[in-house]
Amino acid sequence: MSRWTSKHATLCSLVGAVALLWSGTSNAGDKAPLSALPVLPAPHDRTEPPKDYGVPGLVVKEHASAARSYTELAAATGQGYCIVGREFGLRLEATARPSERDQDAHELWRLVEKDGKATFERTRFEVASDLTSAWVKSKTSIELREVARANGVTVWGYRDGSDVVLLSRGADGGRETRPKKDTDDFFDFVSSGCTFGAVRLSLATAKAGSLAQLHGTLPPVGEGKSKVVPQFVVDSTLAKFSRDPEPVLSVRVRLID
Amino acid sequence: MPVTPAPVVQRLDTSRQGSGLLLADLDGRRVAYVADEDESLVRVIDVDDERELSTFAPGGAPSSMVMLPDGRLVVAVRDAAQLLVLRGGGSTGSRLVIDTRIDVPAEPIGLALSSDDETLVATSGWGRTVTVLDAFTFTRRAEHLVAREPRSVVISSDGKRAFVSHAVGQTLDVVPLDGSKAKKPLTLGGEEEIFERATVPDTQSRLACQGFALAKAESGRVFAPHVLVFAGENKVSSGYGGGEGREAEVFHVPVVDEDAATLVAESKMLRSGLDGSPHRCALPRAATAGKAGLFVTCLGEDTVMLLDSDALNPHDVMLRRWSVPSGPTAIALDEEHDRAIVWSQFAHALTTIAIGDGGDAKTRPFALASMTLVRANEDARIERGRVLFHSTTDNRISNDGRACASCHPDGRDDTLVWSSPKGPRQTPMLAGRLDGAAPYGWNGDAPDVSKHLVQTVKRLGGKGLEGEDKEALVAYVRSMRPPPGKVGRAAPDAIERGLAIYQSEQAGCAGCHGVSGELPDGSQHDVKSRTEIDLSAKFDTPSLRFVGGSAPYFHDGRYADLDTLLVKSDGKMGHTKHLSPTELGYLKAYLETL
Repeated sequence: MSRWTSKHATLCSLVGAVALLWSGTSNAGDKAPLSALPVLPAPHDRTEPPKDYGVPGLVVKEHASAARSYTELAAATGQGYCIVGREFGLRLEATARPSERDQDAHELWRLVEKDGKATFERTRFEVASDLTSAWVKSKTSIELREVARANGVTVWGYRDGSDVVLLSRGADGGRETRPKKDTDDFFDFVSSGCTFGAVRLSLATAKAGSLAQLHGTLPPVGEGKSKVVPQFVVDSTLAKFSRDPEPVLSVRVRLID
Repeated sequence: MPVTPAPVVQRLDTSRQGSGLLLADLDGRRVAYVADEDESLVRVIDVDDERELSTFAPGGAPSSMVMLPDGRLVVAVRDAAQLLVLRGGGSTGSRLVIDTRIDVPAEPIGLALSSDDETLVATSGWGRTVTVLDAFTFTRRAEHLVAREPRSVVISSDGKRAFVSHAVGQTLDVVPLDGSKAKKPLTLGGEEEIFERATVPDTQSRLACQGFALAKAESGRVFAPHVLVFAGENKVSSGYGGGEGREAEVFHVPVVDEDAATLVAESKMLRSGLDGSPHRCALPRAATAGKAGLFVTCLGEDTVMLLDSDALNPHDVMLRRWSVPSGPTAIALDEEHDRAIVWSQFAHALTTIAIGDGGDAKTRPFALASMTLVRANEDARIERGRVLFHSTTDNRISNDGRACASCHPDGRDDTLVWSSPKGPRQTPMLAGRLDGAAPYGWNGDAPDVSKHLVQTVKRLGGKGLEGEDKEALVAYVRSMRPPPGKVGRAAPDAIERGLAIYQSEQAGCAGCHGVSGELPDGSQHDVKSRTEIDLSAKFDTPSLRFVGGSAPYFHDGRYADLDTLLVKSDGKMGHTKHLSPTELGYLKAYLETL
């Protein structure tokens, strides 16, 4: 029991009540506990190719010239597909050239928005040994959770194993802060040549904190000399403070000059 | 005769956090209490009417205030070593009067009240002390000696510990409030990523400085805005520190987990490649956290920044910035009215800024209102000098955003050793230490302050100050308020014995430092302190004024404290080998009175 008088306590609680009624603003950013994020099912890869080769959303092309020949993978970006490589950081590409060394290093991601919902689809595939075709090893999909929306930018999130993955249309690059091991050849910058970008935050370092950032552009505004291409940044933090029962994801969208 | 009813004072929740600006409701009106250090006044302002209701002279320079639940104001009086408890509210009909005086160690600056209103904590800058008081009876529960220049203090929500920032040095202290004695220093320095190779970043350690402010959020986070310094490598450099393509000073806001009393590891990193506009806050001086985020006042560029308080890297995530009148040193949130009030000490202005999120940010006014308070004691030349001393945007002074105040916070020293064209140089204290101390500079190169200033500005890459502005800056530097006196607590007898040792021929102190220690001989001596990168072996005899509070010592900061200096410099600078530990204590006790 406080030694201060009950009169004073009443006054204080009145003031406190006013504070509680304060309406929040979008300046407060968007926060979500980890458990609020949907979890992408673990892939169950088939080990043998099916009878019918082919990966929806992916085209395998052979290029031959006098000097050399190579295989190129092309994603149907207009349908929301994107080839994702993990060598030297997370790379989202419209096209990729697999080599025998890294033919398993690619996945096909797809972001689809329909009827107010966003769905993420991940296709793991393997390029045939002759490098002329590919087949589906597994396909998983999930309805995404919107984790931030501001200034015309929407950010979706999901959980994949020990990572939280954020996706946003128009994002062309970003930065991750992944846990480091001495033997790893890390490159923390991400890039995207697709219609959307992605970035990962690691749950393994949630107590120490994990940061990630996406940047990108919005459709141009104005015409002629007054035409401006707005740029945006998505800042995200994944952290677990002592009083948090579970890690909390914080995401904020900013326009920058 | 009619009796005037006592005013009804209702504090805001934020009034538990010490600040030079407090908001409260006085007889139903929102008022601001302003600690006006320059005029040695507590001012009471009706915020909505933009009208000064009353002033109160606390007998010294008020630095910060908290409000008790009964509406009494606790004021830290910086140069009086006292906290004053004021009652009366401060309306025109009920002026503030002294209710209680509380003696505390020298230079009380920071104040905080626990969330249950049971505990009052005060920091004493020059006294290097954190005092824990019963907030009801004002009896002393504990005193903790801490590192140099403690400033801001916040108390954890559970009331078990206080977090204390320091204007200089590398630590954020965690002081127990539950009666235990062990305080826990958190190391604030940071690591900066440097991408010199393609894929794997190297890191560069940086040192902390300018920890004037702390803020606590409801989320259990304590924010410690300060700057991270790269003081240069151990070699001769073209200027002071920096180099290798790295900025000398970078704004940084580490985040503390309030309940665990630990720094969140990621928040100690300065990450490269995080895009966005550079979020520099030069000379961060005050901070407060609210629902909109973390507000920090930036004294060097006269702005208030709103940062993302949910991010672990708030310094990278700036949400808004407001320009305010010169010298923002305090801020208070009025969330009920979607506004913040900012006290700009140099302009003596109180500015209301809109912090709500309605409408287009580009069309919102930066200020809803701004009122300038009348001053009685103003010297235009010194005021001009103060603005120049703190300016981080004047390319006549530096080319990298540093101000004089960057290395001389509050006119004192940053405790750092910087690389320079002549070797390592520890920043000397300025305030109260210049008179009679010519020549200036560690090698005694400058016969007067003005010429030394020219050299310093050159090393900072500035184009140079001339004429009235140079004179104004020199005048301000000479006028800066000195520290409030001795740091030691030795008995008069011990001090007298220390003086006798100091003046003895055998010790040989007075020969160079003067009879009392305050007027050096103005000569340069080889005290065997030359490092391999010093161009000269002879160093100017420094003034010993305030020597007890200005560690570390020597031009390269080699001695961390007076005890070490007195023992290790034997035979090179006077003699102490013949002194017993007790006699060394006497000598130290005397030095701490200077």
